[in-house]
Amino acid sequence: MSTQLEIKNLSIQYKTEDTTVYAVNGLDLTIEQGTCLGLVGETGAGKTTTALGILRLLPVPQGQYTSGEIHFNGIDLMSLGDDAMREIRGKAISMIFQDPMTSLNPVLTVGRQISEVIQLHEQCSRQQADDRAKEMLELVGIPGERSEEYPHQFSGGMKQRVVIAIALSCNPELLIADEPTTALDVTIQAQVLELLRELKARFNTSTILITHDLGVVAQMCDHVAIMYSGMIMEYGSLADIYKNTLHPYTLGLFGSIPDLENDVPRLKPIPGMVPDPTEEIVGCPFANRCDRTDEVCRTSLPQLRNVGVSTRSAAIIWREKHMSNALLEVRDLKKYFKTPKGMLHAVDGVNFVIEGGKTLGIVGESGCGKSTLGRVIVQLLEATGGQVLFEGKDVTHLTKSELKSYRRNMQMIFQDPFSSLNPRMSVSQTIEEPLRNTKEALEGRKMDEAVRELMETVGLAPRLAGSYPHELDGGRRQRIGIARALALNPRFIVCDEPVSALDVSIQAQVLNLMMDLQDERGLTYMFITHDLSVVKHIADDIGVMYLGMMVEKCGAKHIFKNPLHPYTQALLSAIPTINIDNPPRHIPLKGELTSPIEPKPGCRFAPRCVRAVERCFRETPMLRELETDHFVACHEV
Amino acid sequence: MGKYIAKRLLMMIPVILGVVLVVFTILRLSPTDPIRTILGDMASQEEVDQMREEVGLNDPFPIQFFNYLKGILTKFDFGYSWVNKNTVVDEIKNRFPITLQLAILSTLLATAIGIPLGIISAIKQYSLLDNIVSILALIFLAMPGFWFALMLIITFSLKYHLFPASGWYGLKYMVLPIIASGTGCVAGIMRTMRSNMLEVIRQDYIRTARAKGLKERTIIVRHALRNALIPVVTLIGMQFGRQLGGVFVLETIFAIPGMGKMLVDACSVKNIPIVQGGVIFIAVVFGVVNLIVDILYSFIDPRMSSQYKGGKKEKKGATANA
Repeated sequence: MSTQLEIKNLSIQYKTEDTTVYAVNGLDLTIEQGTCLGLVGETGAGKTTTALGILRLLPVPQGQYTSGEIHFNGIDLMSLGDDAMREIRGKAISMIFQDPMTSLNPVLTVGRQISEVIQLHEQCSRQQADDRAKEMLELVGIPGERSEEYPHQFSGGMKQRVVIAIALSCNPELLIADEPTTALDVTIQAQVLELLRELKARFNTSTILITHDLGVVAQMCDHVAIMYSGMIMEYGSLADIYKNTLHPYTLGLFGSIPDLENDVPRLKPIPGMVPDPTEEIVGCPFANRCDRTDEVCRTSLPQLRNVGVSTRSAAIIWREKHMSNALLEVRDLKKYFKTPKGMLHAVDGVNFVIEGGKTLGIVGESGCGKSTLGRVIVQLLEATGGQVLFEGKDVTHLTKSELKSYRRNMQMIFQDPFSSLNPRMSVSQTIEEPLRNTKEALEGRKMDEAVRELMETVGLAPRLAGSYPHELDGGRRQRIGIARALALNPRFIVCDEPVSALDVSIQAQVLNLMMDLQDERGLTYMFITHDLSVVKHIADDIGVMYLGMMVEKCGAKHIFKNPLHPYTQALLSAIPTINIDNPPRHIPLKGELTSPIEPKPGCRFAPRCVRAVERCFRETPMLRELETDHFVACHEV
Repeated sequence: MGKYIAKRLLMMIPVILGVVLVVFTILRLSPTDPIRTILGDMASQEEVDQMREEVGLNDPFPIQFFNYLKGILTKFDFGYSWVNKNTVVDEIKNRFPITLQLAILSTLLATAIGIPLGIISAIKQYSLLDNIVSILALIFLAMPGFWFALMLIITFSLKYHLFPASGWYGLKYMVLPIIASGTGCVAGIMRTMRSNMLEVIRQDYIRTARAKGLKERTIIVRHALRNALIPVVTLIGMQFGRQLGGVFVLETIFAIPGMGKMLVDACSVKNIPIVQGGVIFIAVVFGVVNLIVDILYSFIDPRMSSQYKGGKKEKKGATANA
């Protein structure tokens, strides 16, 4: 095996008028031909900057190389002229970007977006390029005749396939995939990873897989590099890193992952935050968050060196349970939307009870109606039918003033911490807004104090009070969302994918914060997510939704041991785990969600179900209690 | 698409009826006697009474309105000018082509200058060129149009005798009005183009395009331009629509016999049928221009065209809410 790419002492800084961001600091990396390297790290670790740096696509004029060499097949990329560099981009090295929703041009057909790369690099006619583009689409599992369609006509998973097709269309020698599956559901993620693995084997492409998901790395990579503050903290083969973890940061990352196999009641997050990238690094960047720090760490920068073997340990904190009775009851709740093609059954007859101080996790793919369900419960959307009982009182037909006092008890934390915060309101303004809307609105100093208290509760430094959302990272933004939700001291909070946009270590911090708040304040959560490992960790009960219906409901621990519904089984098997010795047997789900518009009678999962029989297409299965507190809606169990 | 256009045209009917009602009512609420204004002080009371009877001003208001609507709907008759007895339709037929010429030419000029300047300004953000263009745009935006028109006349016709100051008899007469009317639009188009372009070139898909190894020129032309054009098309459409109604001040200053001049003159002598017909015509033209702009959208932005087809896209939008 020869070396495909070698990066030596690469440093990249973003310079603006008044600040310098030290994004990459003396990074060394090598990739052997035909192997896959996992580049792992939190947001802000400099992974994407490294990738853009390799392709010399840093934003101009802010992004600047301050030191380093990048050798690709022996060619020094840094010394190439612009034209020569363009020859390499898209042909020898190509890149898959993070968000398929935004990385395709909305006004060009997908076929054209693929064929233009081919036409550019292979010197062929437009017709030949179009034909090749169709072949590429077929290769990634999209019918070739769809090449005339536009990106908005494709689902997220399909768009990511198109992006992959673009990247692979000129048979690149090196493929850089930047978080290729982060924006996708687990089932689609499994499909995309499978596709990448297949293509890699077929074309013998070297790959850099950038991700924060150690599970994905375990399934895909040969080597792993752990990145922190723009440096490599630990590098080795997959087995080395996963079994003989050495660096405290890597240990911390593994500790932050909700584990599917062992019942760890509390995640062990890495304390503190990523160091401020606008300050120059002195000593080990991880020193402030590390439990083994000594004087040397703070003064001298550690160098990468070859080392031996060590063991790992983890602390366990038990979580006390609150006992109480039903706080919220949902009875036969329905929400339909009118569309030109007929009624869209977003939520279709859902029943459940949440006890005070408990957490119900709602799991399902996007489009299964879980967010709609949350919104109907907090009355942001009007129910089409059924009841929502809060402390025994039906809240679906409240007057405006009744609704106002009801809202105090019931808050929502939204999915995207960025778009759900008003960009023109500072942190303190956002948090105090709900306080201002009540009768007993606080004045001046008292208000400031209340806001500061809330910020401390959610672990936000008071100095951030005047900052705006765009100045903060995802974790802090979501903390604002939590503080805002807590401002009125509610009893029940609907959390709509609160951590899905965050990376693992931040995710663990936010989850622990939410669990602490639950312990302190006796909060009740409804936790909506597509991430099963997260929900297992935080929820007492789990409800699995599929196309507006609940297909299985059971205690959180039990459902992982004994999933009964075929959909739940498929969902569970699609999760990448960090177990590399016994990778779980994957039950593939064929295709994507069927249409929720005017659904026909019968089990809605039947078209994708491996066990479906004729009866499943005829009769809608009802939830039946098969074991104590274990409800399943399936004819065949 | 055809269904969409038909739907939009149908939706224009209540709007236009509303316009007819409002214009008709306002003109009848005015306190001065229009007939007296038209015939002048020298006319005898009998002549005035006779003409009042003739044009139906003595009928009760609802009857007048009903007769007016009936005339329009059955005979396409908008009445006749009280001044020279030409029908309103003929009058507009004479005037509108002139306004149309002026609007098309000045919009073309504004677009041809504004779009390239906006693009260059955005690509070379904060460069000397960008700064100069931006400052000029601000000056032109802030400058009152009539003042600029007067300055043009003073400089180019009175001082240097390069172009005539008034009238509309050929290409030479069009130069100054077109420049005067175009410059105001150039600034708007250029600023909008620049800010949209700046936004678009920061999008992820532009980065994708760069990663493909495309030349910067191809990236701008193929990937950025169409996306950035969408809001600019609205702006151009709106400006064009507004100009079709007649540029009142400019047409008056340059003595151009277009729609604007016609309406201003009609207002000053209380020539009610002309004002009514003119305003209704402008409303229709504005509606049609808006429709054309919306149709143009679908050619630029495929996301729009699937909306017109109604179906696929809306289903997806609804699932995204779920």
